Amino acid sequence: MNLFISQVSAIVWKDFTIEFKTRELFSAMFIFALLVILIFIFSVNLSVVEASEVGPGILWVAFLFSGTIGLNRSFALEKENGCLMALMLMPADRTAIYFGKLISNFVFLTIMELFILPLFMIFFNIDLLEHLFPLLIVIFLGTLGFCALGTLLSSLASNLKTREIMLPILLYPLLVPIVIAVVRMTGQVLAGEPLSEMMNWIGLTASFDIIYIGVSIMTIDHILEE
Amino acid sequence: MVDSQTSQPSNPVIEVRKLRKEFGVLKALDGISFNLERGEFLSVFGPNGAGKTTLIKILSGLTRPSSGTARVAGFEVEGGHPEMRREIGVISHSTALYGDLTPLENLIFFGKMYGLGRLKELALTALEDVGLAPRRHDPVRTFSRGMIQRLSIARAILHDPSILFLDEPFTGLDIQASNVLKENLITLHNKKRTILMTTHDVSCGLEMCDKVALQVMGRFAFFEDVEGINKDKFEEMYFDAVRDKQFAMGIRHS
Amino acid sequence: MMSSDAVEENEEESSILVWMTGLAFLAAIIAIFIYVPTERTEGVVQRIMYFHIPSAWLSFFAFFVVFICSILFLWKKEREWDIYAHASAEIGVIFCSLVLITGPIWARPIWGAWWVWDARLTSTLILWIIYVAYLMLRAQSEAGSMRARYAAVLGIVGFLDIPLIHFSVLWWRAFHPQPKVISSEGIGKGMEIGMLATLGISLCAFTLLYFLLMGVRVRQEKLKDEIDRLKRETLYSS
Repeated sequence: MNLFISQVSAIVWKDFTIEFKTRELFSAMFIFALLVILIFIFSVNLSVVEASEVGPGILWVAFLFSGTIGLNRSFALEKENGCLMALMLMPADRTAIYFGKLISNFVFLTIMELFILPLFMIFFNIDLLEHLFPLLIVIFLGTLGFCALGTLLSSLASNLKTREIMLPILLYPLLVPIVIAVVRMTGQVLAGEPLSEMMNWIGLTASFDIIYIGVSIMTIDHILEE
Repeated sequence: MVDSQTSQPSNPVIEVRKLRKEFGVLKALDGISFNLERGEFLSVFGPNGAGKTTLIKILSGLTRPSSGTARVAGFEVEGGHPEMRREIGVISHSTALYGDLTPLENLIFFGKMYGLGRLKELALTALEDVGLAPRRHDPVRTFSRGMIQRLSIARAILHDPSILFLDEPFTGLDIQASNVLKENLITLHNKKRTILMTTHDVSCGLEMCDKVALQVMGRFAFFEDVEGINKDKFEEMYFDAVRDKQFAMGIRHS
Repeated sequence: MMSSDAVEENEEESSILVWMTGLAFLAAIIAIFIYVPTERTEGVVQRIMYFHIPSAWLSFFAFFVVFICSILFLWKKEREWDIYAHASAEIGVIFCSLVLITGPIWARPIWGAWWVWDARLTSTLILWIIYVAYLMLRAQSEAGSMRARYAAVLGIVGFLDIPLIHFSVLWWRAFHPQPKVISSEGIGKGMEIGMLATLGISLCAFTLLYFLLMGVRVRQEKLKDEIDRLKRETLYSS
């Protein structure tokens, strides 16, 4: 068990060291998310549409799109020089590799989201600080679900010739429940409703997180096999 | 780590029985059986597509065999027991290094994954051994191919495995890297490590090994001690096998 | 691998199935177009429901088979289960497409729009995309153990998503006519007996069709394997 934890943390440490050196991923994700938000702002007329109505949707589309960039990069890094095979030769459980990648994907995406939030607040003129705590819970649950399924599917897609194309095609339809749930919840949170009013959505998102972390633990052995 | 193996009662170290790997109609291995004692060095020759890489992948626990059994260091390879993985080191043509990390960071990362102690010293000694210590703080991306290969060797034997699998290790190496590899192999052979290597290079493969195998179409067509093998005769036989294979491929394309 | 006896036996079985399916469809068509009375409020277009509902049932059943076969494949690692999952996914996608085609034909006169973002329509569309992606994944990867394992994982992940999609879309919005066959008042209470019988016959016919198509598709895939094997044998024996 100790070895398991130190292996998971070694993978996370390695991903962070690479990111601190190159700063490739974070800057790409951040700028991309910003661009998505801008394009949506141009495509809706904010003088006609209420900002609080379209805001949550735009925010999450930006998160998911730039998160996909992160996922694609995450396993491409492992495939580059056959590192993934070396990882599979280690005396490590396959789930250690999964959790290591899941945690680094999750942390990268969350940090990026925290940088986007203030910009979102300014662009849409919505006061987030008032509802910051429930908003963070929604972001946590949504991002975890996205990364749980995304890490599994990107480990799978990384072995395909057309991985950049296939990952979103496989991932997005499966993410529909999460997308609907987080957009709804974010809207309700920003309207000042307490979390207790949306227990069904929280339950749905939490079940999504649990189901897909569970499925990943059970199936990752079959994906990480030559 | 080394001491635990001397008390390892399993003899032979590698035991392969009627190993098959097929999926539907694709046959990569078609019933291979052989034994390898502790400290023996086996060179496996064979044309492309003979299933040499599949053999190594099964023995290192990366792929499951369809039928048959293989035991490595006393462990059933199927399912890849973590303790078995600790005993093996694999060198293949992919370098398995992170280009953005320095050699030191690469070795420390892989060492952590093996749960090794006193990592920094261990990594530094390993870098000295392959002559890369002066460049330990440069990103691996800036290295030449030969240097990367040397580092890749250091990575594969960092945890001092008792069994080494080498899949075409000499492909694409410059003279210096291939000398480092040869020296390392000879040292490891003298230290009684069990080695299985696949290669195309007949003279190099025959020079170092104890046993020779020729793998064609998923089978061992030939498995003998290296003593008494006439190099020229073996070469002729090997080239015949390669030619036959190409002949067969020719039919398919026409 | 496959002896000639086995092939003959298979052929005999499938010819019985062909006859049964043919008769069932004949009965279903007679029932739908001649026997069953026209629905009072919706008119003649309501008859498309006798194709729509069985198609929906069939696609759902087919995806369930994909799920089960995927689990069995990962467990047993036998090519057989991979073939079943593949065949079933293809059939499922075809019938899911039929659902998505017959639905709007009915909706246009009744709801006045080809498409509304109703819960059931939306989930069917998402389901269709998931399994088209499944077939794309299969097409993208080379034949072999990798393709089978990846497809199996997606077959499991995709099916487990269905209840989550269902609830999320349901809470999102709902327009679809409440199911009449199984309602809170009990099975079949919402429908006339003639309509129920027609639907029953149609369901039987479609289910038989599923097994017929499965048989054909599975046999085709096995013959493909057999051809590959024979090719290889000639290749290596020369």
